[in-house]
Amino acid sequence: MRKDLLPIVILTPIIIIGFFILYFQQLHTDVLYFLYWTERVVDGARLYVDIKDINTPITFYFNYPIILVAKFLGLSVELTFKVFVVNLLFGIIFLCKKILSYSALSSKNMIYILLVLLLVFTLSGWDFGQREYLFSLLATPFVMVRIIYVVQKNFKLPIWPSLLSGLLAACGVGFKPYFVLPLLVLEIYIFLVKRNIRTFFRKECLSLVFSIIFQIAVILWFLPGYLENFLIGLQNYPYYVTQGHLFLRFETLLLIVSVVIFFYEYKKGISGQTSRILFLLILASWVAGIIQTKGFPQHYLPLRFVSLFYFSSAIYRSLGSRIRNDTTITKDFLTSLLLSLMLLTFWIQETKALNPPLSVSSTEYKLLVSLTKEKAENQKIALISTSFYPVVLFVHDANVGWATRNTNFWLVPGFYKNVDSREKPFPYHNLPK
Amino acid sequence: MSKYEYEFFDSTIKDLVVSTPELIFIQTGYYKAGFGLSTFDYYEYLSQDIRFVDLLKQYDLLRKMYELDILIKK
Repeated sequence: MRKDLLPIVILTPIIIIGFFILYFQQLHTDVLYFLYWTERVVDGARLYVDIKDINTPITFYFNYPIILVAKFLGLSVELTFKVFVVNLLFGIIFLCKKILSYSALSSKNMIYILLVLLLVFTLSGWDFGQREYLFSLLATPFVMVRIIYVVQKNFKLPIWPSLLSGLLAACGVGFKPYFVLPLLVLEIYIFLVKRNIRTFFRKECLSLVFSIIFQIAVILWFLPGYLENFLIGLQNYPYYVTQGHLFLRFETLLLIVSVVIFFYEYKKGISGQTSRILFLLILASWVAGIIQTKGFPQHYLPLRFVSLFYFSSAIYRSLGSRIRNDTTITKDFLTSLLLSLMLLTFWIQETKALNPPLSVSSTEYKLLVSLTKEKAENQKIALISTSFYPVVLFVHDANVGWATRNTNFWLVPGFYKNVDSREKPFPYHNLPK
Repeated sequence: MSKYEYEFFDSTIKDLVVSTPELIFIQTGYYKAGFGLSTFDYYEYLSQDIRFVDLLKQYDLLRKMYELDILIKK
């Protein structure tokens, strides 16, 4: 068999399995939350007026066409979302292929890169469709354009892929302001390498900046309520306590291994610009996860994506040198380590996708749905809780409606702990002994 | 109570009183998402408003499950 076909033969079945899992897996609670709030927007509720939320407008409006299509075709919202995001993924892969076709890479290398992208975004586990997922996906063409710009002299790209990559990255940043950090680090690095201010005035960069400014203008003009919601969230959300660790977590292992690989390659003099940029993106994504201070797994998703891509490129280079009989025991050991770590990451992600922590197939969920259906079908219920059970799905499954506009009390911990001691609206509570 | 907290608090009570839901799920237990380990009590918090106290008189405790009090309209 031709050796250049090996990546296709190995990766294609894994990607197909990934799509099967994706079809059956439950969407993340946050994704469901945004989908069903958007459904209310489609039905006439005013975002940031009737629906109080800290999240950016694009988080909801991204789902708008999905809800419309689901309603029009009579499909479930979850399935329509999955199909929509998978189509977006293929659109991004197509755009990346177009961008790569202007690079000096061989077709063999291009196929490998595209397959790895497909693999990483398909086997993303429970975080499929999360804001971090969408940011990483939408920013990929931009990052690709910028890497080729650094690596390849006289790199010229037609106007439409350049502008589109900037526009898509700006949409990605729109999901969470934190996402600007990795892109900022990337641009600073490129400036330091090129030592030319004109590096910022390339089409993709201008498109990125103007698209971000346009989003801000749209928010200020059409959705002024967002600012107030954002400020309320900003004052109270820091007090929201989670059980997630910032440092003692699996992603730290990915970070440490990335550091080891980077310094190994650097010492051996085989660390190219692509490796350096990917390594910087890993560090910046890690910092972007840390500064959110909550330790939610999805906050580290961009780090996982870039690490996996970094590892796969290191494995590919190592296998290449093996074919040329230019290998050492250390190199083989590191390659095996990276391969094992990649497999472990996919395994953890997919296991979680099939057994999510807030599963609708759990006994707890089923009991609550059956009880609610029995006692209150077609009537209204109220939930006074901060628990982020998939309540939005619960209401659908139990066929009930909301009695209160505030369906989740996530702001209350902030109100409670951020209390002005002079006012004391209610007494402080001590921890139980 | 800050302006925003009062808006949140008042709108919740108002909605409950106006629509008198068939079931009310109230989170209990010492561990609550967002609070961590805390004795914060939703009954105590919302009962600062007499309208909530009156509303509760229209409900019976249906069941306690999964650190939730499930109240049903009488």
